[in-house]
Parts: sequence; C-alpha cells; structure tokens
Amino acid sequence: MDCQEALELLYDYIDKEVSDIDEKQIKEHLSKCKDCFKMFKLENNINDFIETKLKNDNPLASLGDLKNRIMTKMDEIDSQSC
Amino acid sequence: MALGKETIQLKRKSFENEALPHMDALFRTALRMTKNDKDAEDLVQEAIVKAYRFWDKFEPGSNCRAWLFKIMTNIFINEYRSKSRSPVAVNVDEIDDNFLIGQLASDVNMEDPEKQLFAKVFDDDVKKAIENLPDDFRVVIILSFLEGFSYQEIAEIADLQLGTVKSRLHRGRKLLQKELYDYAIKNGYIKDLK
Repeated sequence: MDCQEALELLYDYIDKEVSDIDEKQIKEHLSKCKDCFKMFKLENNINDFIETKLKNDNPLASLGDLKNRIMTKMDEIDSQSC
Repeated sequence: MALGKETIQLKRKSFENEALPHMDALFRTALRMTKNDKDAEDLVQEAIVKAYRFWDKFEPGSNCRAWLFKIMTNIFINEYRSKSRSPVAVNVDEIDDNFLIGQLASDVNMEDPEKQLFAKVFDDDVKKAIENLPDDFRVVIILSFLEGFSYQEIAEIADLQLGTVKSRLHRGRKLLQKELYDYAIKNGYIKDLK
C-alpha cells in the first residue's frame, strides 16, 4: 500500500470501517512511513477530541415532563385502539 | 381498529421496555439537530408517538435504536430542516482538504499539536461549531460522533447512499476542523501560523 492509498482510507480506518486486510496493510504502511503515521495520529487525535467534547456537552435537562406528555399521547392511542 | 385490551397492554409493555429507554439518546441528538430545547422536545415527542403508532411494523429482534433514529431523522429532514435557520451558505467544495493539516505541519510542536490547537477550546465552542454546519453535514456528523452509528446504519437512518454518507462525513469533518481552527485564532487561543 502506498501513501495515496493509505490516505484515501484514513477516515474509514479511524471510524473502524475498513476490512481486516486493509487494516493490516494500513498498519504495515504506517510502520514504515513517518509522514502518514503523523497524519493518521493527528486526525485520530482531532477525532477523539471532537467526540469527547461533544459527549461532554450533554444537557442535563430533566426529561420527566416530556416523558409524561409522551405517555399521555400513548394513552390516547391505546384508547383509540380499543 | 379494535384490539383486545390484553393485546394493547402487551404492545404498550413491549414498547416501554424496548423503545422508551432510547429517549435520552434521541433527545441529545434532537437538540443538536434543531439547536433548541423546545423544538428538540417536540421532535422527540413526535418521533416516539409515531414509533408507537407503527410499533407493529417493528421487527422484533432488529435494531430498535436505529429504527427510532430513522423515524426521528426523517421527521427532522421533512419538517424541521427549513425551520432551523442555516448560517451563511458555505461552499464546501472550496475547502482545502489539507487545510488544517497544512497549518499544523508548519507548527513546531508536531508531537502534540492538538494540545496547542484545542487546549483552550471549550465544550461550548465545539457545540457552536457543530451547530454552524449545514444541516446535511450536521446530521451525519451527529449520528456518527455522538451516537456511534456505522456508515451503513447512517445510510439507512438518513436514507442516503453509502458513498454520500462517507463524503458528507469527510467534508463535515473538514468544515468542523476549519471552524474550530478559525475560532481558536479569532479568540487568540493560538497564533495564526500563516
């Protein structure tokens, strides 16, 4: 696998969407190519960063009221089905 | 349609056990899609009620979470998209793929560039950057980053070709990186390397 082929699979690799064969070949390439290794590491770090930040920023909204409203709607559907 | 009381009770129970536990996840995604609490609550309510109406169409044993997200994403795309104002149109094609990487490559500290770049970026900044993405890109980014759906699952949820999912995720990431980078420079978190 050359640099271009590896870079084309960069996001697939980060997202764990590559085949076992591709994964093996990418790892082989990264062990030999310093530039690609840096690029993959950088993109992977950015990816983890965004994912972590996004998951941290979760609203602690109480969904109790919403759940009650939904349950009421479901009650209506149930009574219509009788 | 007249159903026996017992049938209705069974339906209700299975829906409450299988579908309702996904409400929190649906809400956090709805919030990123609609960008405000009120619309997010309405969207989740509409999606769950619709799912309940069509619960007999759900195949037991299949992926209930993906099924619910498909219903909700569909409602968002058809009913909410036009309501949520998109920011100034971005010409996605003009964004250089290697924009960020090129900037970072000239950085002296290549060992840990993201520390310099993003150390001071707050959770809220990332939220804003996500919200600034055009809808088409934001939807696939949220489904991937926040919910961890696979490319194939996203294709089914958002009713897109697999190739479209991949290209939108790719461009969406680049847009997000550019947004965060610009933001960091604007606020003086990092120096402009240009």
